[in-house]
Amino acid sequence: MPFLEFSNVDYSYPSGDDGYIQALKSVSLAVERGEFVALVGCNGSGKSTLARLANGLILPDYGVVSVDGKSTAEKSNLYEIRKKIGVVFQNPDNQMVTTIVEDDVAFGPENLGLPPAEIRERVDWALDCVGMRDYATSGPTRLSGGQKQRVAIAGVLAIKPELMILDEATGMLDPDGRKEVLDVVTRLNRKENMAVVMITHFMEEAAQADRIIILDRGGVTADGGRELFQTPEVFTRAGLDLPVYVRVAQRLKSAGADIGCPLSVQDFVAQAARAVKGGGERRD
Amino acid sequence: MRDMTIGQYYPSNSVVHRADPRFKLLILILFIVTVFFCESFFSFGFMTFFVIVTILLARVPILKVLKGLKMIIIIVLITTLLMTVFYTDPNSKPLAEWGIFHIYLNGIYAAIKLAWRLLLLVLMPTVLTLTSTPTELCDGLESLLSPLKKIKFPVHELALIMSIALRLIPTLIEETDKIMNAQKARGAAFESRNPFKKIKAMLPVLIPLFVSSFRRADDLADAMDSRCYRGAKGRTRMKKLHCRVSDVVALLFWCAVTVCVLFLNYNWFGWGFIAVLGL
Amino acid sequence: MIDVRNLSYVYNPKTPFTSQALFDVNLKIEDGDFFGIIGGTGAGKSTLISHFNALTRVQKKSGTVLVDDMDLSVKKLDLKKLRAKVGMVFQYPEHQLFDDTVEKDVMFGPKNLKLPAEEQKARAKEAIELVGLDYAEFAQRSPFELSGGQKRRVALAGVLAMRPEILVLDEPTAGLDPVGKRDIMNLVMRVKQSCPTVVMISHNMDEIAEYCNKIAVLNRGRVEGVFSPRELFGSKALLEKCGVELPLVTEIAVELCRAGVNVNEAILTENELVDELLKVMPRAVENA
Repeated sequence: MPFLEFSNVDYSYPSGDDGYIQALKSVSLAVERGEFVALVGCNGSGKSTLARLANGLILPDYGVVSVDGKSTAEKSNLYEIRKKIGVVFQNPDNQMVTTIVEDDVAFGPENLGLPPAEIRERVDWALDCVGMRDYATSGPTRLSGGQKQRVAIAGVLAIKPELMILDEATGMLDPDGRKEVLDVVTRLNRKENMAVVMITHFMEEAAQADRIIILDRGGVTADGGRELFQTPEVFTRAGLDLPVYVRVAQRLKSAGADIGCPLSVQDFVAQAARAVKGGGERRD
Repeated sequence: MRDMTIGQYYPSNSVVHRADPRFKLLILILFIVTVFFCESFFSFGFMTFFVIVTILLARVPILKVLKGLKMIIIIVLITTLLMTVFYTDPNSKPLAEWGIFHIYLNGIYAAIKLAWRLLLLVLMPTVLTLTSTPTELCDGLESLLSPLKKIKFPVHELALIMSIALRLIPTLIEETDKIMNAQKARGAAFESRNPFKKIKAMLPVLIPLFVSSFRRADDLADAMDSRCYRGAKGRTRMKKLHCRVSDVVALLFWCAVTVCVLFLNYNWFGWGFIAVLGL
Repeated sequence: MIDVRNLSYVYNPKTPFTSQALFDVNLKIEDGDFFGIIGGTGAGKSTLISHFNALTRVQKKSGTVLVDDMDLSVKKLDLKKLRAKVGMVFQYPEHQLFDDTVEKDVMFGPKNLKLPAEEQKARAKEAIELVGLDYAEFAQRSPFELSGGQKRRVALAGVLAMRPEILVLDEPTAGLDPVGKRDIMNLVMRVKQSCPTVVMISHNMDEIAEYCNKIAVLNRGRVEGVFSPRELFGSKALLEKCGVELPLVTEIAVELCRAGVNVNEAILTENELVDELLKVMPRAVENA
């Protein structure tokens, strides 16, 4: 049984005079414990709707969303589900409940009714995980966007969920902030074995994940490992860019110089260097 | 708007900072009541002395903070001026008069007392917010009001609403600033004299502000739900408020100050009486 | 032309919460420039550009800003004239939308300029079409029902309807998906034909390298210098000194050189990188 499972999920929301907009159409997908998944799609593809369905903030019109075998449609399951799935949202300013960093991180464990000593321990641990311990007693107004999002991640971590969903959590950040958040998330997945679903339209971020799911106009159009980058059409059809290094490699290939499918700057450099140096020998 | 310094926290580790917020709130209430009891200049001086001691103990740059409160000080000065010129005392002759304006000696006294009282009423709450974080204040309030839970008064919800409001005020001020600037950049003018026109001119700011506030409220509700919030039921707190001996001593001390002020108001010689008691 | 001379700015002067945002800034933006301003969080970029149309007034004895022949440090300033001349588009400009139809919202600027009613309408139509929206389809719709990208275009139209001569953009593509980003930048290039001077703050070095002809680097309130893209991204010493990240393609070229592949380090676009690599790479199949 998969940890998080969507089966044939439909969701639509009312809009203006036109009646309803169908955000998701019979979406089925599953995420296992420990996975690192990137969920990509352009604006309006339904990816944020997916995040809100996962922990029962909204309920499917049709189909079932279940976490660890429990359906979100059952109200009594929601508390247990939210303990297992944490969500970090897009706007760093709209997630903090209090004016002090450590009090905010404590909000989750306080809701779980833990004893004060354990809350303290979890808060310190979570702040350490995201590298924000030094800011434990500061207010949010003095933090950068990236720092605020790291606090939001710590707030979710302190609940000790098994899966963390980042709903375009880097969308409003500058490049430094994006890198900070991506580093923290990658580390959590590798070291703490936390499952991560990263919703994004930055393809360089998506290339860090082990698995990529492409969402286009409410439906899953591709779901696979990094080898997906070898078929650029699936991305462009969904209105997405490929990472620069993949694009350049594609163009080199069509010009007759194949260097494979690099998934990071380092990959690209290594593969291109090998092609340049090795190519001479092959010619002889 | 960025120049507002009222209600800000000034981080430090003074005795006043470390004191239990519940006691600080109680002392503040006691202080405010006492200020309203002050009648004689002597009692004002007496109170001011202890306020200064508190400020020194708190180690906060109060003068610089007061500079940031220019608006309030201007209001105090205008009130004082109006009080002086419109005071009427049928029992004595005015010192000076121009048309409808009269200046009486008692009027000057009353005006000075009013200004002094207002100043004290601004100072002490400022010291409180400079030395306590909003979370501490909310927790303190929640704890002080907790007896009301017995009559089903939503104490926890009230404290949470306060805490979120305090958290969002700076964000909303910033947002207002941004929207005003965006509209000014499109040539909007907000400085009309006619109040109806003024409200109309503010609509391009108020509407986007409402739209974004609703969005923020939705986002925040989602974030709280996602973090397992279920109301006060089953909730614990990381930080427990601890009252120390020094807190009790401070409260008793301020009670004594109140008693002294009551004496000073009605009996100039009471001062001697207290001094004897003290010895 | 915008000429910034010895400009300094202090927030909350003379209080415990005081902080200086700009230190003695000097730079000159000529007519026809696509002028980029870059720098990390707290570098003072937003404070600087908000001086350009006097939303932030020049403080006493803190230098001056000249916009063409207007000195912005004088007390009596023709704000209406200045704000019509310098069009300012803030971050997430869609947050400024307020009226019940797209047309009325776009007309807000011309209305504030007290233009005749027909002129207001004509300008709104022109601006809505300039940002690539169909006038007949969108004019009477509520701006709040549009998609994110469309809202941003409407907000941009609201500024363009004032027919500015200088367009100042604060991160115009923030928060948009790749297609939305490209659309907005294409739109800016189209606008530049009628409003030749563009100033842009951006964190996206790929955009900066591709579009700007001059780039000012700000660091903690100070100008580190004004460079051409090739000067800036071609000099490692300069980049390190200014704390600037490389555009991804340039980073790849630099890494390639380090790995012993003989390519030009100072490339700025994808095309250049492909060309450089094809020069040194053996090809399996001859290009037809």
